[in-house]
Amino acid sequence: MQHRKLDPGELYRKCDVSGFSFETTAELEAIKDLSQGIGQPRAVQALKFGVGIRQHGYNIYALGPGGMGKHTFVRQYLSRELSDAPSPTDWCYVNNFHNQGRPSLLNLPKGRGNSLARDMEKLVQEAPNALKEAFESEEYQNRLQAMQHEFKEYQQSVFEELQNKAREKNLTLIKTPTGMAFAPVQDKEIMPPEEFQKLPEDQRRQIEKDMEEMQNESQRMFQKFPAWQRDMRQKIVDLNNEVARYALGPLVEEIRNRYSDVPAVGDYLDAVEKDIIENVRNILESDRQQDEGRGQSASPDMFGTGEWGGSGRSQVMRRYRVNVLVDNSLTTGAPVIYEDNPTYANLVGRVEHQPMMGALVTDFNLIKQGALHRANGGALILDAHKVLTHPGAWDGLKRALISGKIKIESLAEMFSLISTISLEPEPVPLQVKVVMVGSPLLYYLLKEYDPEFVKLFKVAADFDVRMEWDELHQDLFARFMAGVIEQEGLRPFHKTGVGRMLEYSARRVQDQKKLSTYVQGLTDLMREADYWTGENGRKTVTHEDVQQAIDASAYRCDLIREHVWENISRGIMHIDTRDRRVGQINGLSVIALGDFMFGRPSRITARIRLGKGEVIDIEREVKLSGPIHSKGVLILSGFLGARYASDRPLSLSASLVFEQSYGGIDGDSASCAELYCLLSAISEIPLKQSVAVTGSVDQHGQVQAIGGVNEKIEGFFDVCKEKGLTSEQGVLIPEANVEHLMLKNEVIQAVESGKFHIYPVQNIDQGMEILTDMIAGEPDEMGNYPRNTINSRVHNRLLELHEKRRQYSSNREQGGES
Amino acid sequence: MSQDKSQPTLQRILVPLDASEHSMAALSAAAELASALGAELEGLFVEDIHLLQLCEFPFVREISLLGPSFRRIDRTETERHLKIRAEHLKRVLADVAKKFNVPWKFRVTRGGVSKEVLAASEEADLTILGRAGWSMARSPRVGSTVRTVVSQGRGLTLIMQHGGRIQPSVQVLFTGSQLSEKALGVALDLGGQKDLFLVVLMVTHSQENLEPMQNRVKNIIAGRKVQASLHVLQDLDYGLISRLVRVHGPGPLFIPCEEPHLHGEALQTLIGSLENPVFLVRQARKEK
Repeated sequence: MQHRKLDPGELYRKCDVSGFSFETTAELEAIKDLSQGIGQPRAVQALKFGVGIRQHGYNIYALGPGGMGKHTFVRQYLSRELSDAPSPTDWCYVNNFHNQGRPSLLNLPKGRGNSLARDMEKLVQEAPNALKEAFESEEYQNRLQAMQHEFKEYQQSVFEELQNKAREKNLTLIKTPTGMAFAPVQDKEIMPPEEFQKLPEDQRRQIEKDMEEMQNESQRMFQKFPAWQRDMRQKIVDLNNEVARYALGPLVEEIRNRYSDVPAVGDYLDAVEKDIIENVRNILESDRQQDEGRGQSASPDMFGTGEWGGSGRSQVMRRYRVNVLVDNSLTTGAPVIYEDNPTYANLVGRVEHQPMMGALVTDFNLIKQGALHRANGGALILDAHKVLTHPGAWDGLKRALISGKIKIESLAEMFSLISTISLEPEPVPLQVKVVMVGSPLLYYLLKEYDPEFVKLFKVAADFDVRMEWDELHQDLFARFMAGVIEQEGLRPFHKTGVGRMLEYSARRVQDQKKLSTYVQGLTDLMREADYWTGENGRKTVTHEDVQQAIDASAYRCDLIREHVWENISRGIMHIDTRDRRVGQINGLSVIALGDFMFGRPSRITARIRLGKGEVIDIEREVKLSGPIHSKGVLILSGFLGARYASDRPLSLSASLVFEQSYGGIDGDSASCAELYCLLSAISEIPLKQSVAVTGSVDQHGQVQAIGGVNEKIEGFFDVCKEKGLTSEQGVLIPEANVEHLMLKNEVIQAVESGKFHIYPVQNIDQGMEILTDMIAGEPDEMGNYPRNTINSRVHNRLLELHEKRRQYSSNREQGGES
Repeated sequence: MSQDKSQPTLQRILVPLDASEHSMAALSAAAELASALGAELEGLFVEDIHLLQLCEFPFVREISLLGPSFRRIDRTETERHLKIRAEHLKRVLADVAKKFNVPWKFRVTRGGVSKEVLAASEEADLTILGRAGWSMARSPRVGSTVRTVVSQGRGLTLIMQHGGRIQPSVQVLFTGSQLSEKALGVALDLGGQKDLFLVVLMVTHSQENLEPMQNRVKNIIAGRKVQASLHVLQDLDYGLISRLVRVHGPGPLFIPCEEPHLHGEALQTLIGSLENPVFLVRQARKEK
């Protein structure tokens, strides 16, 4: 009965730095651009495809754990790919003169937006002056007065005619507070009423009749007044239009000529000109108010601030300004925008308000761009988690992508919380490639539960957490390090330092054949190693400096581990590392504290009694067990029943427990240990407490790989070292985990000196033999096991229990009959 | 305008108000002068007794320019309207007085408008009134109240019209009489700001009188910072005077009244032909 122990060489893949073509990283051609895709061929291909395909819905979700440099990778890749793409046009919002609530959009060639805004600002400044000059000119005043005079003349001629007719009848026309009236006259004065009463009746009647006639006559003549007034107003309007057009024409024409290649600007200028002409009176009035206001010292902040707080011209003329929403004058290639705070408003833009006279007011000048506007025509990078956690941001983004338009509305409007009159800016046509960067969990959740996500993000750029540890990637790894060193001004790494970094990288992914792509962890370690190099007074970072950085980092994090070890060494937590015990074994688990993980032995015990074949997982009974752990325990029942009691009921009741465990347990890596423990309890064969166990088991008794094998071995080794190494101690691990071993040097040295052993096992029988020093035993054709083997002891004990149960049942039946 | 020792002592300036555009122009001019002279501004509104009497006729109907209907004139309502107008004018007066920082008072009387204004002008040092009120007719170009004050008034009177100004130039009709000398003096006093531009329209048909008259003018304006311009007229040709005055800007024309051809209807005709403000200077000041 000879079982394989692992050689020291199998416990760690040491990097062979003798094959390196450099002494330090300073000699290497540095890789600064992550987008070259070190170890990420799948992600590179996905990004290339996603950027290249123009069809709707092919946006990209870059998924992978945090700290892999996805953001940098995506940004650098997109910047490089889109650097030669055509730059997008400028977008401006201008007043909609037909409906001010729906500002209009102007699309101009790149860089022309700001230019138009400047030109219009000049118009805003100059137009009132030009209009003022024109309307104060003698020519205009004369023409206006002539018109007004004409009407007055007409009016007065009517009154005069009436007055003359009245005079012939001894009446006069006088003005009353609210109109006019005819009055009888006597001696050139209005006749007093008492005098009237003294007149003979026929005269009085005559006067009354005359007055009635005159009233009717006046009514007839006054009826023409409204039409005259209308004509006069129209003449004045025509005159004003003519004068305003004359004053404004050269200013507008100058701008129009400059933008003759942009028809939309021409249309806009037509509308501006028409509107200014229609509002000449307001403009001149505002100008007058402004002139008057200059002499007053009223605080501008009394009712409002900023532009709205001002009076006069600025308020009236702001409708002719141009709000440059997106200015691409300085953009080279297509824009690549990263929005680090993707709130709803930061994504789709917003309409701001300003206080004025106690109310909030707004107009098209207060429309602000969002990230989608800036990225329009290029690419937008967003953090998926942030988009999903900001209220409304995800829905707003989807709506924009589905409709192909950016429609600015407030969150309150979106959720129909308010229905006040606000702006509805004309939506901006959207052509953008959105790259969401996030975790795989979010990706799969969205894919499962959000049907729109599937339609909109058809390209998954899956970032691998690891890459092959071969010569090619080893070389890329070293050059990437050189890039980081150059960018961050670190000391160059000696090739031994690079080798240790590679080993650390392999340990991170727990694989002798792989390297980690966890950029953040690697760069952090490089910075820390550089620090220790400085502390050690060296100019290049060596193996020792990197090791010191790893140790120091672990020390900073391992306070809890220290407390656990202390509890074990003081006997507060019972871990036996020397004796043999029935129904007791040391299982191994891993505790993860963020980035830091450590292994910890746990005492697992099993007790059996006569029963109906159930294996009770005490952890599960008290809800301290996760579903995977429960599954592992149920597998044990299946194994026991199939191997030892396939032709009769399993007549035992077993209970399993993690002793002194007060937290939750999950995972199936303890299922091997639990089975060994259970078999020991059934067969009453004691197990070596000096050998800890990890591994999961299937229903056929095959041992399967588990995670965290390095931490688990190191955890038990540390406990044994604390209690004293006996040369008997070791760990059973699944054979499949051997190539995952990247153990610390201390363990390797102990194995080398024969003080600690690591046993790879493929099945339960091998494990039991190591743990008991007994032969497991193979069944013969009849299914019987050889005597004095582990399996025969188990088999017999179960048979014994079955007999007892049968007898017990028979006794009960007989007792029942009597 | 600034006040100096040579200026006449005008303490009360009367402004009859009826809310017409001419009377508003009169109010502005009055406030400006009151401010320059340190005088008090007195507003007067007359509730027209004729209008109230008209309400007693049951058959009289009011005609509105805003609609075709007639309606009866009610005395209570008319009185209410007059009161509202008076309150409005009082507020306007207060605002203007505040703007020019001058003391003011306002009173309301009831009676014939011309008669009441004439009576009030007897108590004032200077009466400033609009050329015409709410006249319904195109002619005459001066209202009945102005006509009354022109023909019967005894104090200094300034007749303003909408658009008229009391600065920067002043013009004087100089006939060589003592009164015209006084008119010239008043014009210099009231237009006493620095660099006054003075236009003297000298009326004489005798060449012999010309030089002495010129000398008298020179003596009067001697020592003043005045830029003077002299025009000689052969006779009182109202058309010519009107044209000359218009040419020399919107400033007032000072006229010595109570002289041959410069009183009564003749004066009214001259005033009617002018588009500038007219300042009437009389020999006999009021008797307080």
